Amino acid sequence: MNLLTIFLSGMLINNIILSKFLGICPFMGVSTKLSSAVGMGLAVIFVIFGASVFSWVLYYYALVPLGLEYMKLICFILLIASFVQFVEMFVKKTSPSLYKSLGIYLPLITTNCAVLYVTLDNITQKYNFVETIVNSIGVPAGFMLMLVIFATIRERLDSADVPEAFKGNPIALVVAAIMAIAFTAFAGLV
Amino acid sequence: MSEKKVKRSFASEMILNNPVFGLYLGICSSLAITTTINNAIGMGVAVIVVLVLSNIVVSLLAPITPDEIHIPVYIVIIASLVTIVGMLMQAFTPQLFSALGAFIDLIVVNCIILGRAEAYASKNGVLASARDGLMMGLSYTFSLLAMAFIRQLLGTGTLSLSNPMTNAELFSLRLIPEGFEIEIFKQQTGAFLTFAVLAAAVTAYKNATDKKAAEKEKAAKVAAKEAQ
Amino acid sequence: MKIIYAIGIVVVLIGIYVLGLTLNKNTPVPEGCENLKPECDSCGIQTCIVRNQNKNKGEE
Repeated sequence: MNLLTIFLSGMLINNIILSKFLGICPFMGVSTKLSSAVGMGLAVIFVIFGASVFSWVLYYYALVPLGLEYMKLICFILLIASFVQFVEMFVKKTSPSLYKSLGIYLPLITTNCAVLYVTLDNITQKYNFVETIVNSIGVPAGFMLMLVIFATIRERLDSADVPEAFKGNPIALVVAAIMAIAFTAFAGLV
Repeated sequence: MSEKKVKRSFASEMILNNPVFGLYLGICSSLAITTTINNAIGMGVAVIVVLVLSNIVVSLLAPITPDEIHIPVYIVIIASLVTIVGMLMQAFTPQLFSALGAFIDLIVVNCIILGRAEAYASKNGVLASARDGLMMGLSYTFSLLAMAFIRQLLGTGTLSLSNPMTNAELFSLRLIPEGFEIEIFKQQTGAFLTFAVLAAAVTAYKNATDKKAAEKEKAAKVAAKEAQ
Repeated sequence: MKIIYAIGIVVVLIGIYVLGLTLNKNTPVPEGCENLKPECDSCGIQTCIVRNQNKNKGEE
């Protein structure tokens, strides 16, 4: 499979929110303002990328030689949790302005199922190292795309006349349903 | 009479404090695997097992866990349990395991489990924690079933159940004639729509009960004033 | 032998996590970022960690 295919299918065709239903919590929670959507999106891209690279190395250079493949779940989740801690520390030290925009979203990402999914998916799809890198940029890029699109729609929704019971998250899910229809059009892309 | 009251509070507990539609926990898996009732039951049972066991282990270990590292310890406990459950499912119900795919592994990051470990099991005894895990797991399964029922009925027109061990069909009932199914309910869009409508229904029920309670309070206040 | 390796890997990973956690805690929050708050108003997830942290901050 060529790299462009992996990237596009990760970002658009198998969009992680609309077709895999992962990372919905931040999708509904955070995406109300464009600035916070961008911040969250960037944090997720960075964490998924780093966590995928480390977990790929850990899996093929430590777990496989020792015959401990079944430990991948435990190892990956710990790896993600510690990676997030280090990233937060690093951002605090180096760039206050970056911390201002990303800081609050970093602790949330540990329990974001998208991160764990991408690290596991790289292993189950048997991607090599380059494909892993491409996939772990494409998938969170699709996530960020959705957050940004959704933030702009959400700003309109706030002033719309929505039935009482649908206010808040239910109407957001209805919008997601309509977007899922639109995104099925990408299925013919590759 | 008291029995009736308990029953009603149990039902309203199921609806009002429903982890999925009321509190929006564990949405991801509930959207993804509710295409058939079979998958919903399989996922529900897996979550119940993990949740009960993790609550028991966490409540046992909580007193001796240093506060600094309690989150990684809980994560390791939950991940080990999920690995065990996944292996058992792969061995005994391979069809179900492949249908649920990565979502068995993703039980680890299901907010319900870590949330209950943090909020309840770490502060309560073993029996109470096990009971809490069972209740939470049951209401999670109940929500999955509600979604799967709607999606399978509208999407395929039939209600069916099969034995996960042998994959033999237990029963199958066609309620909507062929050609009248709504295909879209099998796809992602249907998942989002079903969830939205059910969540809105729960919100509406909640609003209605809140209103009733407020009115009752008002009436009681008025009555008290008149009595004075 | 395998089991020892497995336990070793998990212990090392927990060690890395604790190291990260302590280093992160000891790093001061940069100036002007002490009271960051995400906008939680339109989100219905009552059990979210961030939201509860905000509440605690507000009460203090």
